[in-house]
Amino acid sequence: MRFTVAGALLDACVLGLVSKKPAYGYELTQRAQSVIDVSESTLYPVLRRLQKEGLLTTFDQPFDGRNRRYYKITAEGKTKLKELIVAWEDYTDRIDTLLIGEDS
Amino acid sequence: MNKTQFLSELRGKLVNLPESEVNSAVGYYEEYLLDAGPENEEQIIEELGSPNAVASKIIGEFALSDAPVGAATSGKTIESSAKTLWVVILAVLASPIALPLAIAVVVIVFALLISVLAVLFAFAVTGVALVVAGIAALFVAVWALFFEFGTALWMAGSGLVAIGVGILIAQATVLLTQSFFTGMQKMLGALLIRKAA
Repeated sequence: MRFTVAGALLDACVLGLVSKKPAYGYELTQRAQSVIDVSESTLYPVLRRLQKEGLLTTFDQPFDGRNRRYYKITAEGKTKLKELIVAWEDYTDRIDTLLIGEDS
Repeated sequence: MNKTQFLSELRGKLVNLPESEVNSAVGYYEEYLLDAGPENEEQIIEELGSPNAVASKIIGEFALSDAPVGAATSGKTIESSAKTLWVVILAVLASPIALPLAIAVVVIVFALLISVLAVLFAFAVTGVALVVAGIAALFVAVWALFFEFGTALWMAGSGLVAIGVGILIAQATVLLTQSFFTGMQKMLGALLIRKAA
């Protein structure tokens, strides 16, 4: 079985994904799908919201006689991502305590 | 379903969102399908599911996001939260159960309207009937004057009472009808203004 990636965790994953290098929608979905189970229609609403929250920004680049919309992380987004990584590490530690039973 | 059909249906389902939102979403999926390449187009459209399902996700996320939408609503938090509520209602309406539900609501409203109108009509008829009966009683009174003075007076009196009560009922009916229609007008006006906003 697989654990579902949704909500805040999905937001964090998308931010992390975009932070590596700017990418367009299809590319982002492909990269996400190579690691986790996400449907084709999952990413757009997340990208749009992160963009509205000022964590991502977009720019258009001509490609093949049309424009490709690239998503890029903002400074604010980078700060947020750092916070999320800390929160995630804390969270996995806690889950490990429950799941594996080690004392941390 | 091909790309053009999918995109135009998606646009149709998003029609209640601000135009910038619609263009952004439709643009994204248009680009997405182009990037996927024509050979994968069909498979991706299948995986995306119905335009309705894709639209629901977009509308849901839009309604949940607290960020102000566009320049038109920024800074007006009350207006934008009212708008959010409206979008949620519309999203609910877009679901498959919505149509029968909407029809039921319309039918109930229509039935209520008819009932109110019927009651008003009954009042009007009662008023008119009382006046007519009163006038008839007055004629009887005049006729009775020649042989039964008491009966004549009684008939004249009750005739006048009937006319008076009839006129009062008629006046009340006119007032009720007027306030009913102005009330309806105000409600419809408010609905239309909200829709236009």
